[in-house]
Amino acid sequence: MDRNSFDQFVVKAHEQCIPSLIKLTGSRADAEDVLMEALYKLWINLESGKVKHQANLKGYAFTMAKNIWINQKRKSVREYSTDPHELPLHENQPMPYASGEEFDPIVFQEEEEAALSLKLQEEKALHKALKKLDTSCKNLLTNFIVKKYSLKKLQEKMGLASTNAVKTAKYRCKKKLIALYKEAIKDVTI
Amino acid sequence: MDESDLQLIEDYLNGDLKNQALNDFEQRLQTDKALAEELQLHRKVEYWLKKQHKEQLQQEWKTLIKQQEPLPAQKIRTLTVVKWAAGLAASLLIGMAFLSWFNSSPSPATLADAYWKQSANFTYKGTERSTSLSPTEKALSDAYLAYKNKYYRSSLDLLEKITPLSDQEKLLQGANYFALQQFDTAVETFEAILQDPNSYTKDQARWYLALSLLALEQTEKAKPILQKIVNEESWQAEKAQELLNDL
Repeated sequence: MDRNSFDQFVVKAHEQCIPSLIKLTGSRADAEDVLMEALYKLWINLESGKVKHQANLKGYAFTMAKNIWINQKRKSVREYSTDPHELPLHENQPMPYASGEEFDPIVFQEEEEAALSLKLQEEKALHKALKKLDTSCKNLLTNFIVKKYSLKKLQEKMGLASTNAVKTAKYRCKKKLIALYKEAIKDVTI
Repeated sequence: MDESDLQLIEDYLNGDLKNQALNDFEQRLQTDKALAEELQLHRKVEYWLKKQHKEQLQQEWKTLIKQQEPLPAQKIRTLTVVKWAAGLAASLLIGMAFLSWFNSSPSPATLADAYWKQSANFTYKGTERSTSLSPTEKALSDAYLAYKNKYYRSSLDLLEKITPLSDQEKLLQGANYFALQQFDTAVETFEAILQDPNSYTKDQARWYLALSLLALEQTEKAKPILQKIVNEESWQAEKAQELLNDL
């Protein structure tokens, strides 16, 4: 399925799935969010060849959206649970101020803000780096990292002699992007 | 960071490191801070790349969905238009049946419609949709998509955001007016393109202008334009000759 056909499918799926998803989630905003999430996953799965049968894509999208909602609910129940057996919240991360340090709400807020600011800077830097990266490299990295194309598929798409040639091209593009990113992060100020 | 370490990071992220090589790499990560930081950087870049792609695609879909949802006023207008169209279609059918008694050749407006459907294909030839687009490119790409999906009003709204319009975009604008049966405005739009003798879309504009005039039943104005297309052997010359024969 090409992008234009999928765009048309998105419009139809939205029209047909949203009423049931509103009933499930209880709000239009949540229904829209889970459907968008499901549609994106579906598109990536189609692009990577994970979904081979396209007979009932609407049903597939709806089930994905439903599962995403159920998982989100489960996760939020875990995160806000007061049951000590549910803790720790994040297996590999220590709880903030769990080491017995005194909790200071102002310091905590400042740390949160600094982390958010760093995230925004990183995103902005990547945006700048991607703008400077040539289109062929951008497409190659998107196809490999995001759409998860196989090396074989990329080899055919790019008309290269071997999958090793794809690996080399991808390696060079990634190196270029990292260099551009390192350059951009120095200049980025929020 | 030397080349071999960068290659190791790539192999690790691609899942190409196995057994002892994987163990060795993970051991090194515990002690080699520079390597661990570089790996973290690669992961971050991959994460942001995925995030930006996802947000861009979802935004495009949201825009598309929004365009397809008629406003309440539009819904009412659509219903009225449907009723009018049904009435008009019925009248046309009766009229055409009546006309066929006397003359088997279709009206200029019917011919214009038939030839329009054969030739009015507009495709966006800009940047690939999946790559990041500037706001103008995005509006343009969406305008073509809206036209393709028969959302002519939305397509016109999107074109309004673009200034100045290129001749190719003006053609699309005229096509939207034609499809909305605003033939007078379509004529004005195509004539404006023809004002510029150097316009690279003047051949298309001339053909569409002739069809718009025929849709207005202004056959005498359309004929010399069609003749010019035939004489100059420009775009759609054969169709123009066929059309002249039919008129």
